[in-house]
Amino acid sequence: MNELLQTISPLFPELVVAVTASAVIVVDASLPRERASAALPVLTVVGLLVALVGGPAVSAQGTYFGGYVRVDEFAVFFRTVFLLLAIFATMVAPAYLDRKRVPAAEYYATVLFSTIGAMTIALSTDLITLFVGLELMTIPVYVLAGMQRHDRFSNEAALKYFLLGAFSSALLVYGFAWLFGLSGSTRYADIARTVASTGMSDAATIVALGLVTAGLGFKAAAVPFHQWTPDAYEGAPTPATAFMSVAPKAAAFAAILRVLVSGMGPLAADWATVFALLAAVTMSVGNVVALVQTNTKRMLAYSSIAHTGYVLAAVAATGAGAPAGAAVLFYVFAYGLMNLGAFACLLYLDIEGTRGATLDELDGFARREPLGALAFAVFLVSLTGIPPTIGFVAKFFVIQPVLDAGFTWLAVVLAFNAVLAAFYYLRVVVHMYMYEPEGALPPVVSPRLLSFSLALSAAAVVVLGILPDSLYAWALAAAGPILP
Amino acid sequence: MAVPLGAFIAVSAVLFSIGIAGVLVRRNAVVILMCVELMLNAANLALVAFSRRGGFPDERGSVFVVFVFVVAASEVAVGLAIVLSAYRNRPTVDVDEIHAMKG
Repeated sequence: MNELLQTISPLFPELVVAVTASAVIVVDASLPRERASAALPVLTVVGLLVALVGGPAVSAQGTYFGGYVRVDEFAVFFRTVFLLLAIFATMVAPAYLDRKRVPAAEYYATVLFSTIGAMTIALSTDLITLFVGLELMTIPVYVLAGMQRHDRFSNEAALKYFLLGAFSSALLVYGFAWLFGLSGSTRYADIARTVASTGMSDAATIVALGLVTAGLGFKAAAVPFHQWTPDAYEGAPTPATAFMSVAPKAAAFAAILRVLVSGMGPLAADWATVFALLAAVTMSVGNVVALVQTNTKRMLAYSSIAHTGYVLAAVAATGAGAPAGAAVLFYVFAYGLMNLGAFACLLYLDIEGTRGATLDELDGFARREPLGALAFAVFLVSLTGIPPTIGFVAKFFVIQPVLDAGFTWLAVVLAFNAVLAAFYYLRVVVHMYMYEPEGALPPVVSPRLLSFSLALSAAAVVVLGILPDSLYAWALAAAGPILP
Repeated sequence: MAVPLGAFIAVSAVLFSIGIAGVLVRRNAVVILMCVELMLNAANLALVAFSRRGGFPDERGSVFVVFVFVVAASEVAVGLAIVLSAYRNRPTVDVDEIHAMKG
């Protein structure tokens, strides 16, 4: 028994989340509807907190399960990010799920299962672990997108997300098959050794690299693999959108760091330029298309594509060493906090008969819901990258390694894009604070738990924007195993 | 007489290409799903072939295939459920006709 506990203890957080997810389903089946809808979010958050707090204490760093799993500072960082995002996504949801009659237990359980998958990606040392984690993360998110079964927008979101997601997984597996064929192993370390000796001379290496880049590009929503993003984000139930715009993207970057930066690291000089181009195109397309959107949910979907571009710029700068890796981790953390918050602010407005909130529906929102509007404004200012917010610091940390790696033109494109983005983010703030609605004030619902969690995360966005040092030091330590 | 490794890989490349072409050309959601399965099986074939004939120390590729099976099965389960619930609201599986959102 002791031996068993010792064997499974490194996966303590994953196991706790898995048990919580199962418990959510059982509790839902055994309690009457009203009691269940009150108990489930509490159960979910408690489970996630136990995993978050107990994880570092129980799960010692090291390599486990025949080398398929490694708990290192990188994994611990991403575990924390995913658990925090899951807690946040749980806390903003209950009122919405009640109002729209979305099955609550299924929502919490799918969020939890998806979180386990995301954490598994961060733990992976092997293509097999990575693939299983990636699918465990994505498949629940397809369900999450289609959770409003009687809403045809939700159906469409799920269908498009699923078809392109499955397609990208198939590309990825075929790329993995070629990597295995090249190196005879599925370990990142062995693959790195092989590609270091063969270089780019081999056509098979180029095919494998291309397939893996395309597959992960789909998951991270990089242009030109982004077409599913706006429809999937707009059609999905808003709390699901909030979760799926951050966790799968963070997980995709964990996968990119593990496979491309540590597994294909020896070829970095060759793929870095491609990634720099991808980054420039991704941020420009995302921002330009976001400019013309009038629906805020769709606008935020395009803006999330632009943010993928900023993170890709940091990935392209791996030549600069650990600061580039730290920039990716810091940006992913900051993006998760502010983007989940921004989507969650739309929950105040998501009343029957509206699709997200059009800009006009936001007129006078600040008078109607002062706290919600303030939080929304903080998230939008942070997404723009204006100090003193975490979004500004994150962009700052990205630009430095991009310059050090010699991509001066990319730093210029990035700065230009940040200015462009200010236009559509701040337009929303102007609508909320300065415009008067034509008729009555917009109808809002303001659940207390939603306001509480938004206030908390908006405060975190500002505090970490002023005092980013300890978080950055942690990101730097976490990037160590990937980019020494 | 052993079939050479190249032959297996050639077949897997053909299967994969048919799969990609199908995903890009066909408009029926269920057929697209079948084409994705074809792509996954192309990867399986390549993995098994490399694993048996690649001259590598272990057969980890064959282990990978088992995981791909499991994932493919769960993907089909979720995928068909999504197609079905879309079909209940609006009786079509043509992805060109499912386009309420634009922009």
